[in-house]
Amino acid sequence: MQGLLQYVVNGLILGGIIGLTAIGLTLVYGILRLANFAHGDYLTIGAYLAYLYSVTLGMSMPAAFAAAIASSAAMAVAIDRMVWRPMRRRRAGLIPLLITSIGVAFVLRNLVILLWGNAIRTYGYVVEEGMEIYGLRITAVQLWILVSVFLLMFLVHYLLTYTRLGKAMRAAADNTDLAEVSGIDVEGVITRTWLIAAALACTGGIMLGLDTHIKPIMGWSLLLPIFAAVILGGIGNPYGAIAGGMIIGMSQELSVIVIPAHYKPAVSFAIMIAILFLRPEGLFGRR
Amino acid sequence: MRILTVEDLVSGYRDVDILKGLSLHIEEGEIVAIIGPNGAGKSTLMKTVFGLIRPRSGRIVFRDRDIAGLKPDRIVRLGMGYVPQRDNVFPSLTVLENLEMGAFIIEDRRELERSLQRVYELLPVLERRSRERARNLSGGEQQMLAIGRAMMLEPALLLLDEPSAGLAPALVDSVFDRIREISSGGTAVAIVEQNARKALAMADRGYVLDMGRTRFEGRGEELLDNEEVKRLYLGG
Repeated sequence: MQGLLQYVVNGLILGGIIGLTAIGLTLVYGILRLANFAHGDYLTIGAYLAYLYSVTLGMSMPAAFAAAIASSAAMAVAIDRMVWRPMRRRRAGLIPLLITSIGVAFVLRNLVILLWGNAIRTYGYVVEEGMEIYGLRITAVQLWILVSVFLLMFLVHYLLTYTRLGKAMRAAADNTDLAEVSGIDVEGVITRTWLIAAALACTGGIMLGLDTHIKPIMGWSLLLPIFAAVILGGIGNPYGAIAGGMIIGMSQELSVIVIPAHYKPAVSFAIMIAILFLRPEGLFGRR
Repeated sequence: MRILTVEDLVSGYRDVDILKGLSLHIEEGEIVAIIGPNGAGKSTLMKTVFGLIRPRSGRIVFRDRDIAGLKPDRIVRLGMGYVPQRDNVFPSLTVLENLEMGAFIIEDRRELERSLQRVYELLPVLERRSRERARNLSGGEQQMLAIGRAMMLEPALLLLDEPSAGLAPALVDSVFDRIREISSGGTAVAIVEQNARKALAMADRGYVLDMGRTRFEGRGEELLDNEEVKRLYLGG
């Protein structure tokens, strides 16, 4: 029983990281119709920037993380200006955008390898034994991750539901032309969407780096579960992405009860294929 | 006083010119019906005036300002509203949120509240259904919402692209009644219509477009009585 609960905790953490990152992917898709294959590498860059600030430059963890989040967000906007905006102006379609995003992913990943090498790194904090709560072992970092994930998800919900920007983001996702016609500065909304998407991806990268370690391939390998979460929840739907992330993370962690642990990644693949067959619009999408 | 002047407008998609030197004008407060066969360029005219399509040449002057090439979100700020023919509401947003988007440029909460009350008075059905998502509204209600959204900023000129498309006859009359009411409030209305007789009957003036140019121009009833217009565009 406690073993099972331990898997649930692990699942919540992985699911939270996937869900958090998936929110950005799905928001960007909703407004730009861009299935961004570089999104996982935005996460990697975020994790390495945090490494740069905290380990290399010796900043305190909170300051380093804040700086990494800000830099990642700036990078996402810079990439938008260099790549996505010119393509947008030419009204590029789904396939050219998708292939370009794979190119961006390669560039970012190899940039990380060039700067930091292929070695596995950690943020270098001392791994604690972890405290026992009703027989459940959880480290302070894991607890911090769980709390932050839920806090951030609530913040995203609040932003989308109640703020002017959030409503404009939903309106632009529904119909970009009509949003412009209504007086919404869609380019401004797109910039802010990138800021939020990259900030969340960076946070996901830091969390993953704290929970395990950082390596250049970390984001790329998480991309499949992230996409699975997005598709599961209905592409373009941020609440779906959160739920999808939780389901994928939980299934991966719980799968080790019945199948060998190294098949974990196959679980999200299986779920994605199943959902594409049975309900391609996603669990919460509309036909 | 002229509120809109379009001169020698050339516009279209990719390599194809749809408008080939079109000219027309709209006076303050009047209702102008723009009719013509399919492909005459009626919707292209609306989209070009509102900045969704960049004109290749020609002038679009709104209240003494050349707006050709300006983006839609700038044009809204100058006092023009636009109701597209299709996809003219945000389906996943509630009625209230749709209206709020129509007044996106208003940041003052009280001012927004006043705009809402004004639109609710004009279109009471929207107040009754304010918490409903737009996709759950009937076709007629969606059309009312689309008009309400465009009226949130009390535009000086409202462009309507086929407001009666796909509506039952009884609803068409009710939409036209609302348009008259909007006009009597001082807003100039330019209306593109398939339903040409009804539109001309309501309008102060009308234009008949054909092949991307203005073919006839005149007072509404003049055009309704014109033999050639009748034969060619009103089905005899």
